[in-house]
Amino acid sequence: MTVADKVVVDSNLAAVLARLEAGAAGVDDAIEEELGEMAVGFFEDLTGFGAKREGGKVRRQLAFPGNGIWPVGERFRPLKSDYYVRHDRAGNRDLPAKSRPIVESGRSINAWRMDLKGATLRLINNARTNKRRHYSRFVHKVGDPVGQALKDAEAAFESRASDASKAIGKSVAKLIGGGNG
Amino acid sequence: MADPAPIEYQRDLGSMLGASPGDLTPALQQQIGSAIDDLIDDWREELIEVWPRDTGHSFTLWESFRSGFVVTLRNPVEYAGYVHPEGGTDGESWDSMREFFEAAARSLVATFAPLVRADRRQPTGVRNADLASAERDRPPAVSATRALKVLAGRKPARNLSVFRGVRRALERVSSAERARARDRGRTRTRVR
Repeated sequence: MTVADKVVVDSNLAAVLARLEAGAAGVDDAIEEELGEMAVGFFEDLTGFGAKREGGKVRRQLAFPGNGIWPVGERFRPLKSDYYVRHDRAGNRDLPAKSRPIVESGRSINAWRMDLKGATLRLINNARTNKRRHYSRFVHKVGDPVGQALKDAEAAFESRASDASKAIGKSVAKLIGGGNG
Repeated sequence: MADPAPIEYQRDLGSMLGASPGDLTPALQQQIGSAIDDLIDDWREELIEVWPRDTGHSFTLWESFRSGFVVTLRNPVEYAGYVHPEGGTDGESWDSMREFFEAAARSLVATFAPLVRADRRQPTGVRNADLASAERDRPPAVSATRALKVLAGRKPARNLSVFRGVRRALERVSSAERARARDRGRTRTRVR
């Protein structure tokens, strides 16, 4: 290696390290991009969003009710009702005596978010009932044990996050490699 | 479609009240925080009523939460800002949701403004509570966490946002394209 080569390599490395320390746009963008893909994938797992073919025709697939991990077909009486329509494991519904119409909900699927603190990615659902009680940990599909949906969601999250972690490592390595020429 | 239109909206109810959480007694901080949580619940309920759902994609990607007295409402989907009911105009749904929130926020501020004024007249000894730490201690209803090895063993990443990443990912490869790719039977949903 010539002195000139060494200088070039060193300066490139220093530049890359400086970019890492300073949170350079290129590095942060690459990481955010991987995180974004990961989150999109996770929500696809959750909702089952996508398209399907019916009789030769492509139809967009409704994310409702619950084609994915999370059962979004839960029902409730809207607008400040203090009574939830609950169903038993056999799918029998305990209907309210009052006559308000029952509508499809999306309350708990709509309360998901993901955030990053330092290097920790957190998955949060803070959906609450009309009585202001958190209930996401009990969500399940008809026939599944109570809380199964959360277990499945966590498994999907773990798997997606693990892939994202590897992808981020590769992206950063690529950037550093590129810097070295 | 014109420019992509994800939604990112933040409202600092503390500044509307003329007080930050640290200025208030713990009891009032807690009361206001809880009222803001209720407001967010009501907003979500309104969203369920108002937001049109064809595939449910933009509906499910809404995020609504508070940090201190700051409320964030946001949606990374590239067409969220254009969503409207059948026969409506572009963006009507978000306009309606924003108006709902702003009206509810004004009402909350009107309710708490006299309490905030009274609270400020109290001796300073009872203030300076650290509600923020109490909030941090309170676990979210559901929380799964995972440490990511970002930056190859160096310091963890700074100021990175998952939301920004999702927004960018959906701007790069549209939701429709992702749905089509999935339909083509790919095993990976990741589209490059």
